[in-house]
Amino acid sequence: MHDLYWLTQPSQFKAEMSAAKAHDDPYEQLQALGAIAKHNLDFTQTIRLDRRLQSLYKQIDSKAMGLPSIRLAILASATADHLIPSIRVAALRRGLIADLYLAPYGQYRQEILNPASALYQFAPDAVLLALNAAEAGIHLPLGAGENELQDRIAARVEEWAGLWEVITGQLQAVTLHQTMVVPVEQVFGQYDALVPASPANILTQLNQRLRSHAARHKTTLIEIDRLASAVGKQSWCDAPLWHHAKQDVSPIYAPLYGDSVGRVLTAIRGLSRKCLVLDLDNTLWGGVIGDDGLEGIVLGQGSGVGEAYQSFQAYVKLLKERGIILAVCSKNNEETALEPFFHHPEMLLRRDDISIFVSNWEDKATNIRRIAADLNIGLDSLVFFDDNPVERGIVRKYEPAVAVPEVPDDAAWYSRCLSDAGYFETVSFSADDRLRTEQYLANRQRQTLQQKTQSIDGFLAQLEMTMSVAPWDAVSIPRVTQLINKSNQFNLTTRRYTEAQVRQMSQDSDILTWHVRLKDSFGDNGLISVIIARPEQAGDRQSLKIDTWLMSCRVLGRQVEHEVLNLLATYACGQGYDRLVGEYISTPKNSMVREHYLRLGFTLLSEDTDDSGIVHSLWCLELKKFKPTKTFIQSSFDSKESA
Amino acid sequence: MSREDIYAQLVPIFQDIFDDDDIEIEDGTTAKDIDGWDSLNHINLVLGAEQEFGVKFKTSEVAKLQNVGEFVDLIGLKLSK
Repeated sequence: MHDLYWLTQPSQFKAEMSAAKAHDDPYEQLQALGAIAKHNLDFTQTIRLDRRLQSLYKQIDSKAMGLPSIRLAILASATADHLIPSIRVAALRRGLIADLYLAPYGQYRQEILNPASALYQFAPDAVLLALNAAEAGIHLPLGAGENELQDRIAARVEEWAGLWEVITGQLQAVTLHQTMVVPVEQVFGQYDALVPASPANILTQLNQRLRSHAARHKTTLIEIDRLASAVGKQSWCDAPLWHHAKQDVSPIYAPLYGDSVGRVLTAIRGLSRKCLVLDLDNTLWGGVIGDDGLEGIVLGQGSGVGEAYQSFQAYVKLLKERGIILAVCSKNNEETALEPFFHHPEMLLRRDDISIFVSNWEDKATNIRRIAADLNIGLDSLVFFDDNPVERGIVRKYEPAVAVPEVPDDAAWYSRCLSDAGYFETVSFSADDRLRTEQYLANRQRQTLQQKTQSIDGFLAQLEMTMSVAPWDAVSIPRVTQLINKSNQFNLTTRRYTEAQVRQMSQDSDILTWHVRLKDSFGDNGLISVIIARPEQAGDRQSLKIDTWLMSCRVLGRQVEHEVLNLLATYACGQGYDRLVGEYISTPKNSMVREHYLRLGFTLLSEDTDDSGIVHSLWCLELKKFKPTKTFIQSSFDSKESA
Repeated sequence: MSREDIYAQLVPIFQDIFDDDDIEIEDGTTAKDIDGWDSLNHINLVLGAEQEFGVKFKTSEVAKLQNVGEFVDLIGLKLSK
């Protein structure tokens, strides 16, 4: 791997850069640059794009535009200036505005431990510790034993973990930590790994220790050792440049480095892709099922080509197991397209692995829109994998939000391509993720029921919904954080919090931190709503002010918000509050909840519109006058864990 | 490859790194003449040329360069080997 080969070649780079400049409106300029960023840019092109971005970011207010953004601080032990453009461009490639701060070279401890440092002023959402092998600083006599080595490694990693805790606790930011690039140079030759104190073994062991600590501390690793291996360590670090300029990553590979960081930032913001849309003919098997028939398609043991397609299916099945939704989008008669799924003995993917199966003769852009609508997810959650360049071109043209990788000519490289492209990066893996495919399937069945049932009340009654509300706990915090960072539509204030901040709030007994789960006759919808509220005193009136109220759009129109209010009002009353205060802050995406509080019986206290057109309204509900709304939901409040 | 041909391939690297399609370079151009030509971009230019021309420079060779003309000559020398 040498470049971002899954992206299309920037054949019109220069012309597109000029065209982007011609836009007077900064937002349009940003859109144009975002489209250019989706190409396989080399490092000089990346530098050029980034120069534009830097000046553009000074002119725009990402918040007012409703654009997702993230503040990343980079604390490095080597030169990292040359990596900055690629990180900014990689974030933009995924629709994320990255605001970066690079601490002075080698000053990471001072920056983290001194609350007056520039790092604290910057107030990052995430902190990247880019420490290299030299910074590990473990030098032992070659005769040193395993115990001595482990003691030294433990001490070093404990020290770093201490810094991670400061980053989480004081800066309330997410920590990213780079693994060490294990050197290629050998001292004993191939015997190196058997000598505890050989440089290569020290760093290998250190990486292992970093990984086990990271899992415990919720630190995300940037696996630079893996990336350097994939590129080839011989060229990953240009040895003369290391000595001469202290660059431990060659500028040539800055785009790959930046993309690795960019995809993690995307995951932190909950913007990673969620669904893989697959073509069938020459994508999941060799040949064309409509022409070649069940016996004619090439799949499975016995031929190299057939094994390659099967191994791709095995990889896709793993993606499904980790919670990536699978969909099929094929130009075929549906009956023909389904045949291999039911009758081909070598098919690893079965019909029930696929959440949505669309096979017809309409154009693929239309079908992809249908898939997104049926799954109730945005087009920006989809990856479309199709061997046919024409279909890829059509989808790129008409639905640019869909990620469409260039597909290798040989199926043997398909899984590597999907893996290298990193669309599905994550910073956590929870039980809810694994359930997701089942959840989307159940949602389809619910929609079918809704179509069959005449009245909405009849539909809701048949769903037999049960809702449980409880304060956040260790299990729910990853999913709560995910929702806080990715919900746009049913989100009253769109306040984003990092996992560290979420954890902090959950431990603060003054703050109400609730999550809501919903089950129904079709299955478990999982954790679908989050509430944060804080006490507020106005005169002698005790108010409970709702800082955050958000809900997954999967459960819209199910009376969940009414039932949540029933519980919230009862709880607040019991705690001696006089009233609930609700807040709405407009974004380009949340107009559906503009009248949320009005619908729930709140009265308007105030409404302002600022210069950039953002509406900010405050609402109030007198608890004495509140009467619960009758819903079709059985609810329970688990106060045991209540803080 | 002639010096003109080398220039033709070298100029786009300068255009990208300094985001300036009108940038002008000639034999006498030095870092002082171009806004933003710092040590970081110096490395970027050298690496950009290595990538473009498929050559590899030694640190000692690059350190000696006084101006763009000498850089073009060095590229020509590498390509002729």
